Amino acid sequence: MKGATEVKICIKFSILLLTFTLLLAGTAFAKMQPNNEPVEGLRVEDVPHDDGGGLILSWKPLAKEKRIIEYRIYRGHTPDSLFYIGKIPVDAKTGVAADTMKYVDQGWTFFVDATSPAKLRHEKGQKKGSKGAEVLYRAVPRDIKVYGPLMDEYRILSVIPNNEYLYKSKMKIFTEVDTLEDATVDTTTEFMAGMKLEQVKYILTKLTTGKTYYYAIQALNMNRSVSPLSEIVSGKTTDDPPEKLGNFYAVALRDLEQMQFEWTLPVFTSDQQQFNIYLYDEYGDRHLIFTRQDAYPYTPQTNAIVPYDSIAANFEAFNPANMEWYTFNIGEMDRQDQETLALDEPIPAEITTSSILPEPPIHFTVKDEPNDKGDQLQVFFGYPFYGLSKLTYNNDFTKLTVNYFINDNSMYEVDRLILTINGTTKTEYVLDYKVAFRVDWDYLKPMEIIGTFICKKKGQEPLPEDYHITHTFIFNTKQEMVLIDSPPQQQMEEMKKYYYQIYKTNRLSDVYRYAKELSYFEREYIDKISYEENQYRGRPKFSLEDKRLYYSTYLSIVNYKDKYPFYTQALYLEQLRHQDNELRDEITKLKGELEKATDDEERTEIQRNIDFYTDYLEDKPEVVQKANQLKSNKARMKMLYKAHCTNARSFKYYIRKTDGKGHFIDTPVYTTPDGTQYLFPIQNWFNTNEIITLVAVLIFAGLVYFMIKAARKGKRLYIRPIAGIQEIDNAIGRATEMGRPILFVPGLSGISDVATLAGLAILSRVAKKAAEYDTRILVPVRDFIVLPIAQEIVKEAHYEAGRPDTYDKNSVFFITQAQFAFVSGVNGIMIREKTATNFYMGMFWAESLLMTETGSMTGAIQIAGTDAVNQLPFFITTCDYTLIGEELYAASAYLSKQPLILGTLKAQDYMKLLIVITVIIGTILSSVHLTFFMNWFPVK
Amino acid sequence: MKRQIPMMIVLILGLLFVAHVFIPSKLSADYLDWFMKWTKVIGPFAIVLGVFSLVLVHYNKIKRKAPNWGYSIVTLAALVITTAVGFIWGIQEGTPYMWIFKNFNVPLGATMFSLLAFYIASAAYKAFRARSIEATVLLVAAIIVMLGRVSIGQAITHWIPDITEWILNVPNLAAKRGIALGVGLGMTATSLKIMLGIERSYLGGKD
Amino acid sequence: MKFSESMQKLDRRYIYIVLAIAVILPLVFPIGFKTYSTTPVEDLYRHIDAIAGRDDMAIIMDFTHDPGVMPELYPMDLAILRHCFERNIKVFTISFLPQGAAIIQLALSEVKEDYPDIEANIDYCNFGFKPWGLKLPIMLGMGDDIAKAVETNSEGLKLENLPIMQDIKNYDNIQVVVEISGSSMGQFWVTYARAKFGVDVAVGLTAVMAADVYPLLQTGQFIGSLGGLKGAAEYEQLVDIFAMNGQEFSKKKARNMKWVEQAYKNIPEKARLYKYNKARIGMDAQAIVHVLIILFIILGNIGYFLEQREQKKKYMK
Repeated sequence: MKGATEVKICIKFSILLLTFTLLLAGTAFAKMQPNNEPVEGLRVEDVPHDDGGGLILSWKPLAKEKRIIEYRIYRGHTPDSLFYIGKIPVDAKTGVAADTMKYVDQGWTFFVDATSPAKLRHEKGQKKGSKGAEVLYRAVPRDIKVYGPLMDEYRILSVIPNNEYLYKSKMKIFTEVDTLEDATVDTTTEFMAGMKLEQVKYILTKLTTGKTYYYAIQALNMNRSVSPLSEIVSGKTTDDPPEKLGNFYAVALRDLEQMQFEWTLPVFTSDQQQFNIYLYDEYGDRHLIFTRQDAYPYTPQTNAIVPYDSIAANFEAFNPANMEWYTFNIGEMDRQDQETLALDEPIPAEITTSSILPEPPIHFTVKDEPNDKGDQLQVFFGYPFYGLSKLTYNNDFTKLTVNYFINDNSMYEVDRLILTINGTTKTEYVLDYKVAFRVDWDYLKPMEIIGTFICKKKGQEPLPEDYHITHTFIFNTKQEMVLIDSPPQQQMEEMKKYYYQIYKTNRLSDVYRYAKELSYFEREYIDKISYEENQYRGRPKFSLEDKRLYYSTYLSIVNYKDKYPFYTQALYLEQLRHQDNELRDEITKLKGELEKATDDEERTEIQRNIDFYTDYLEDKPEVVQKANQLKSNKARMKMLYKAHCTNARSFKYYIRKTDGKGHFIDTPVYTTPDGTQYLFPIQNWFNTNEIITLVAVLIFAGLVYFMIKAARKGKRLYIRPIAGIQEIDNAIGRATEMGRPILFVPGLSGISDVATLAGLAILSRVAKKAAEYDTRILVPVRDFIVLPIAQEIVKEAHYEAGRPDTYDKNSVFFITQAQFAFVSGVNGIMIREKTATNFYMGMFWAESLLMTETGSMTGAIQIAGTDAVNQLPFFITTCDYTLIGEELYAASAYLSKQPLILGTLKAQDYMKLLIVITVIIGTILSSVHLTFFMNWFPVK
Repeated sequence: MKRQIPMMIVLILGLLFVAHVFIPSKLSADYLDWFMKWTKVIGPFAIVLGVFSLVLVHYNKIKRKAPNWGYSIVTLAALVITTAVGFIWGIQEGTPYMWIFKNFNVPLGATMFSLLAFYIASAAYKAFRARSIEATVLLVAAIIVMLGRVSIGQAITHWIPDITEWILNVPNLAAKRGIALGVGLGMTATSLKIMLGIERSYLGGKD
Repeated sequence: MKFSESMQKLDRRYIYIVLAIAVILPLVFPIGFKTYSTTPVEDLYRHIDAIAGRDDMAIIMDFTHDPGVMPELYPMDLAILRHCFERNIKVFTISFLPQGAAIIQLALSEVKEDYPDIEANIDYCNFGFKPWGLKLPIMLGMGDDIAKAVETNSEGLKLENLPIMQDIKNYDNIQVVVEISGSSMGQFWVTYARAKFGVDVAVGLTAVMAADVYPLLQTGQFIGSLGGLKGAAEYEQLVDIFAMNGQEFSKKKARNMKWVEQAYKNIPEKARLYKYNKARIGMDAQAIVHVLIILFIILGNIGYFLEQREQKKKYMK
């Protein structure tokens, strides 16, 4: 009867709650205007200065009252099928403040991959009969019938994992037969690598030049209802001339007989093809004196050195003596050969000598980074630097706290910093970024702080004796603060004026690319050289029959003798033989023509071609020759790919120190003592930073071994008694006497937390005791993976105790993942079930007190154990016994009393003793300024 | 065998992970990547177990008409409704699922959390007793820190915030580090015991 | 039951009700406890105040926090924005969390109500939400050129064309980056922006996180910090007594409570709005609760001693 009334109350309560919810929801949504108007004012315009691959959309946002949460954008190459390409999320409450919204369709965007939907689907939410219902599609599906033809309408970039492309593609030969005008038949054979879409990582798209695309927008409101589709508007991409380069400087250095140019890049750089520097002579005629290919996709160099000789080669009448007559300009050319000049009026050069150039950076070195997985090189130069981050006087101006920072590198690693203010010298043995001075000067006067360094001896030249860095500072009376003097003195000015550009190139290319720009106080740069995972290929051919994409087949190997900057090899042996045969045929054909030819000029031309082809056939890089002798295609590719990786990841470096105005100087390309320039990052098999850790682990393992051995031999190991653990039995007994259940919470963390494992180990003992006494045990669990383990533990405990019949599977149960919901669940159990004993063993967070306080209200005996330091106070105040930190881990050993486990416990104690001794030694030594011991230990 | 195979897996994987700490090579890094992907896969399967357990426990309660079985109906109803709503309309901003989350989950969680303040007050009242010298020291420290964190402490004397800072940075930090040291060793020892198969209660039962 | 006994067995619910009243009452009827400013907050205030009225300097406020921590952090957002608007300091706002963008909007519109002359893109500029994945390119890129790194503001306008960007190029024109978050986002700014370009960084944090930044404050890597509601309350007060009174910052005055009291009397009406006093009102409640808990502890101990004495007496008899 009682149950029935309860149900009625519950049902009533549920209905009440539901009505209330609906009412609330109703009022919330009632304020919202219906989403029945389309987006107005959609315009599509070309992006200026681009490569013809960008369009900008703009439209008027809908009213704030519509509570729009996102605008969805659809695009197509015909107005009758538009695909979803992206959205702009909007805050529903604040709305959009601006008059127009913009979406830029530019650059590579995701097109399709193996996770795309299987079938072409119309977009949901459009009313039948409306124009949106007909033309709107969700994302492009992975159905080749749909995405295949679509690829022809866009620029395509395919990203293919190396493994798939090199070893798992399927070769196919495409032959095309053309009948030429003179009735000869020309057959072209193309070898292609066939891949399924699943083998490709993903395919990206970009708009193509000179094509019309159609766009439409629809808006989604808080209710997730969509607005009617906007008007479908079209736009055409055009390839514009590139943007102007900025800040062009020309410097002529008389003594070095060379010119130096420097400029800055515009925002949009991906369409740059070439930089051209022009000289305008006294008659205003233009002469091209320098060109450089762009380094796309890398950032190009923004400066150039042009020797007088090379100017003279392009402009015969060049006379350095007339330098003041000449003016200069720079042009940027895009892939369509459209050129934009940087300046409207060319500028004259600054005529000077090399004395204006800065000193080159000293000790420029490149080294392999130790202890990495082989993807980093260290670039460093110069002597150490220290800067001031903050200076503070105390309230009565008797003490000055100086906060400093140090930038050094592995060549000159700072061991000590010596600072001097007004005759007072302080040595920083431990570089903790702060040092305090007693003030014996007038704090209102400007002061100087001089810093010198003592570096660790690493076999390098010592620092010059007079090397020091000085800062000045002055007290700001108005704001009562200390400021670093500004502008800084000459030394700082010199440092601030210049910055360092690091350039590098690999063995696959001949163009130096920009790696990084370092500011005046940096001394080291770690260049990340990632492992190459993918190959990038353009638009594939596709076949609807075998559902494959066909990509061109080549792998770049090396920049071979600069003769073939990108020396590539065919993917398949068959293809290679075919190519070679074709070349041989061509040579024979040419030789025949050579005999017939009479004209001298024609003969030399033919001979040149013959030589070129013969050379190409015979002069091959060593690795290619070796690889091509292999019979198996896979083995050949492996060898070639290895060479490709080595060459692609070997770099040489130089540094250019510049003021950004054409006054720059280069270091020579770094050459190692044994004469190599290209450095390859080496992967390491042992992390030397972890030696101390390894030693500690070995000592600990050894201790455990000996202690277990001792325990097995029957040696009595004394272990300090822990009250909390001794009371566990009594607590279980109490529950039995009272006839009430036991609650055991194995922490809120997952199984990967060692505390949870320790908690579960205790659970196994507690459950066994409880089963022996025939007392119910409740185990609420928060983690899914802990659940089956806890169930198994409790089950086994019952079997062991010989009471399998009393095991109830539902006594170990999952409540919820939500932290506080879990707590309310546990609290409910305590109150309803009136548990007599509560255990909390494992990891706990902010919920600890909420549980234990409830437990103490219900009058249960509570024993807790955790390694969460912040929760310990709560447990200690509300529980009867608490296992603090490591006691939690020891508990299982105490309960089992096995020699094996007691042995580890004892080993733990000895290890702790060892650590304490180490800490004491370290403290004493560093107190007397002996920091070597401290420095042995790695800083995490 | 039932026991030996899992023990072998634990030992081998454990040793591999220890090796990973000392070996920075690409192979080692790739291994960790690969392993992490697998752990991500295991999670979703475990959810099924959890939900199954929840349903089973509450279904049994309803069936047996256990005391307070009405609450079990509410629990199961909430589970079904939330899941259904999420499947039907999705879980993005603006869906009923999100509405439930914002208007039920968040306030309920916040309520439980804010109970903490009340519990701290009552725990302080009940537990902070000057039973011994140590307890008295703790008591005084607690009072100073509490005063030092609000303006009243400063109003009394500027020493209170200064002492507060000192208590937090010196004795408190020292004790925390001491415990952390023990915890670190305890963890290492437990991991070692598990790897070597000395501690196997996590496999269920038998030692 | 004797007094001592009843003290020992006091029903928890009485404690709860007293505590509830102690929290609610100060929120409804603010008491106006004194706020004592501390060095990290003063450092940040004067650092920002130092560029008052300058066109070539600005501050960046990074709102990388979500609504969950708004009770503690939102008063900081308001206080700093109000300081900037009142003293004519240029502000850039940015967030690397989508929820943060909405908070920026809210904070800007709330403060702008009281400053009708302040105009978007002239006196301040909201960069809006930038994807989390772009935080490093943006942080590093701003060292070179802010307009290039950030590209567009929240309305999609190109930064380089905006009037506010006229004299502002890169971190050299940024007085301080103020990171307001419940996470350790401030460390990113230190690691990337500060280490490379030397720009000053300060943080506004939840009280729980506040202790973590002490080491960085000591080394000067953070030039200042606002810790939780208390930090927000201190900043509110500094804005009231200095900026709202048109005064230059002075540490001596800030620490002189008599002067502060006097300054409070002169502040204009618009500074007395509830929204600008939120943190201080919240601190009232916090202070009362702390005192209350201390009282509880003392009461509990009195009860304990009385009981002990009675037991002793009984034993003696």
